Amino acid sequence: MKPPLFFCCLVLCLAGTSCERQEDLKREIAALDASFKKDEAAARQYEKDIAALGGKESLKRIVEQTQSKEAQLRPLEFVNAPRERKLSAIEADFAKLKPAAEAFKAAQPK
Amino acid sequence: MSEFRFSTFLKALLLFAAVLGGFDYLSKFDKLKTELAELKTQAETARENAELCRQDWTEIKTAKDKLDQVEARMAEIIRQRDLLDAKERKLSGEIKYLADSMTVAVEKTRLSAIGTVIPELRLPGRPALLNAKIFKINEDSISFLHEDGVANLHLNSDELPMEFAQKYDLGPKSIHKGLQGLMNGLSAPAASK
Repeated sequence: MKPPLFFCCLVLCLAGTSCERQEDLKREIAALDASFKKDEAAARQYEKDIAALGGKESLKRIVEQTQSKEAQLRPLEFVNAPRERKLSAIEADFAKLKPAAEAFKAAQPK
Repeated sequence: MSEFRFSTFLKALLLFAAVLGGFDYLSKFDKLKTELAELKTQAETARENAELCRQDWTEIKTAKDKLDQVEARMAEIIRQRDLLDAKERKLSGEIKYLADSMTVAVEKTRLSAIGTVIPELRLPGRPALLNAKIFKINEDSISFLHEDGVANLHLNSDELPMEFAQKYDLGPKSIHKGLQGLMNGLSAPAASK
């Protein structure tokens, strides 16, 4: 092989290798760009969701509301159950007394 | 066929093109590397920002979910309380109506019994009363006028036969007392467990 021809082949080889290295870099850049866009989109979506929930400032208000409602709820939780038991007991007693009372009234002369 | 020969000019041109190509390649390569470095920084920032947003959202969402749960529990308890209110109103009305009508019936029965004469009133464990005339009826006793005098017979000490208790609704097991007790029970506060 003559030297100029060898030189041409060498140049072509170098050009091919450099193109390959550039392609690798481009692929890496494309992957990073996709990841960047995905993260940006996720951040935007989270910001939208946060706004839908009332914004970042709403956290304090929500926590305060929750505490206030829990304080209201606590005494109420202990009222219904004993009241239900009391009413059920009275209802049962009334169910026993009612027929006897009706019978007593019915037995009276008009 | 003539042999292709590189002239000096062509050789120089080829060398020049190779050097130019090399420079161009290095310049483009450097540019890409810079772009990659910048993009890496931006991507890292975006990732951190997304993570911060996710943490904020999670915190607010958790708090909101808890508030929703508390509100739902409260609504349920209020619904139960309203149901109990309605049940109590209904029960109270029914008991009051029956208690009032029962009181009237008992008073009427007792009043109508005054003056009734029983020719022979047999009593448990003691001599019978002859021509016993009812002249007073209390909640747990009946007073009789009879041939030998006056007798006040109490239900509690088993002096009075049980048939009187039923007939005039006397004693601790009387129906109208029971109904009054239920009315009092309704107005009393419920004892918590």
